[in-house]
Amino acid sequence: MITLISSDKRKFHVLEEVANQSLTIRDVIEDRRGRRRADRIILVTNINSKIPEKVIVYWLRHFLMPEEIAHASMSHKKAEKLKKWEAKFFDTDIDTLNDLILAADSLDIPSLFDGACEKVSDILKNRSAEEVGEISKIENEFTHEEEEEEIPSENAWVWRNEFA
Amino acid sequence: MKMASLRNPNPKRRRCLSPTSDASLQMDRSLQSTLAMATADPSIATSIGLSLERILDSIPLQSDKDSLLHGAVNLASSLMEAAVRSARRFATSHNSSVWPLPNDLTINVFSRLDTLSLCFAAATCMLFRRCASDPSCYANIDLTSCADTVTDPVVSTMIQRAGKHLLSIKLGSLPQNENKLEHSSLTVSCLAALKFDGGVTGLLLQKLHLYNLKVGSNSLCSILSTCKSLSELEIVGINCWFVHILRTIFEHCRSIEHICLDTSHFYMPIGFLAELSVDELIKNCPLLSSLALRCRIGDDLLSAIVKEARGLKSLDLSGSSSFSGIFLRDLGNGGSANSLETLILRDCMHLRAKEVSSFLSAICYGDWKSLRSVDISNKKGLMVPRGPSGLRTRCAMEVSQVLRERPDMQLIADYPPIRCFDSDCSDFASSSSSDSGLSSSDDETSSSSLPGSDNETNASSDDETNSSSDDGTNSLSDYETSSS
Repeated sequence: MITLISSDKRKFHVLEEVANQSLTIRDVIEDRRGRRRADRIILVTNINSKIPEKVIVYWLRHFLMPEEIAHASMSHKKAEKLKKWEAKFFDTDIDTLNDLILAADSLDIPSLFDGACEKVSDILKNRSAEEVGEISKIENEFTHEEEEEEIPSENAWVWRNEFA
Repeated sequence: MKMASLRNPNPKRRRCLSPTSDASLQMDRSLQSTLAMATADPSIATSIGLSLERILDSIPLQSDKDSLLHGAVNLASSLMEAAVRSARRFATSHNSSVWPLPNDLTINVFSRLDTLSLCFAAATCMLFRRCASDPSCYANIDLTSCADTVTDPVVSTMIQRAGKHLLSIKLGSLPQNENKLEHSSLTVSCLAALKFDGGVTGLLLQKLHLYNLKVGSNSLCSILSTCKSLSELEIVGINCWFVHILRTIFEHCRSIEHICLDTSHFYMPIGFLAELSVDELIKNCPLLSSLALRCRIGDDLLSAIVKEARGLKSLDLSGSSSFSGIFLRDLGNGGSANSLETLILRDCMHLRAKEVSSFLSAICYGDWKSLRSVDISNKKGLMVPRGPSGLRTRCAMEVSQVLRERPDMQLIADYPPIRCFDSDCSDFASSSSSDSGLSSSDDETSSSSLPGSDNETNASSDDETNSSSDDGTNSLSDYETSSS
């Protein structure tokens, strides 16, 4: 059993086999093998407690159905089920997804990273610049007129498009 | 320009920042009081106007008035510039705090976006623009969804940005309506960027899809000749003779796997073997596995292509014309080396019933072993050359025989509800299977005398079939004279 501690000091106890899905954690455990129990505590500093919960849920689901086995022998029905589950898992707001990307990046969990990146890009797909700004809470620094005047060949044409 | 103004604060501002200067302190104070007044008073526009007029009235000299006005305009515009600049700086710092992802992760997300969505994201803020100009975001350029607004320089810029990351390009628009041709405003010069830097960008391109672009044959070929690792090429609705394009591909793109050329919207000369020395060239491209042509092409060229392309798995000639199907005979004979799995001959205007029926019989005899899927549908029926005009037929008997003998094969044979000539068709089959040589003229005249009586009822009922097959027989006889 290993313990993860989030930035807001919450503790999460996870089976080693489950946490091994994170390549970072696996390396840390390998490094500390044979040492005292206190060393089995891993600080996950850049992540608040909401995200480890999600990550661990993701781990557990995938632990029950490891991907290598999944590809080789998983029946079509089970694969569909996992796909559905993942769609539901990633169906959250963009802030959570961004945090998941950060967590997956620092913990090195490739499938989670890909899934979250894919979902964020899905959210930003087929949106006008205004909508992108609204979704990401970004303040728009450019105006249509500026675009048309200053960089005619580069981005001005974008404003003449609309998503159906 | 925007970037420049952000990075290089003008000298005036630098003077303001030096703390000891009395002048700058005084300026700060006066600007602050003016701005305080401006924010407190909602009707600042009128009061400031009146105040300016009063001051002007108090000045006696015209030249002094002029310089005062000049200064006022100067002040207003520089104040506005400074305000916009500060607002942008605040927005930038706000954005970088609101968007949690570091640049490399944002780039990863952006690289999964389609090109138009990416450009919209780039038009949101400096942070996104910087991330969106990363080469990896332009690996797959697909501008088919905005073909009518995109211009050559835009595409050119994107190709240059992508640089060594470029994998695929999709340009132009596929017309919604098959018969209506919409040309996009793009020309082939937007692809000229592929040739920059000695063609490094083009060298790595793997997939190129062009739909209804304005293209000259020479410029297109010169661009294709730089795309040496191209594996997939699709060119639809381009005003070029396909033979030129094929020759360039076979010469330069040694790793080509899929080719699709559709020039059927334009009336181009028929492609014969003489124009394209296929035998030599096609050996350069051992990976070629699928070929789709929609153009006017002769039997001899087709048979040479399919004979030489040893790895060809799929041949799609739907909508092509000017070939009769004789090439099918040659292939059946040398069939063992053939790897063809899919053969689509849908709506080939001059495809002859006789060739189809002998092809189908060959399948029944056990030739074409690797073939899994065949489509010989024709919305007008198969052609009976030299027969009475308007005669189209179908090979229902052979089709059912093939379906019986080769249950593993998918055979599609949809024909219009013309009054069928199944009995005659079996005649074709028997005559053609007994007679494998090319002495077809006697054979055809004898056999076409048979359905003549049936034809009179049929031709009068279907004018459209009549006229089109007239056209077909004419150009086919052209072909025969010129090929012999």
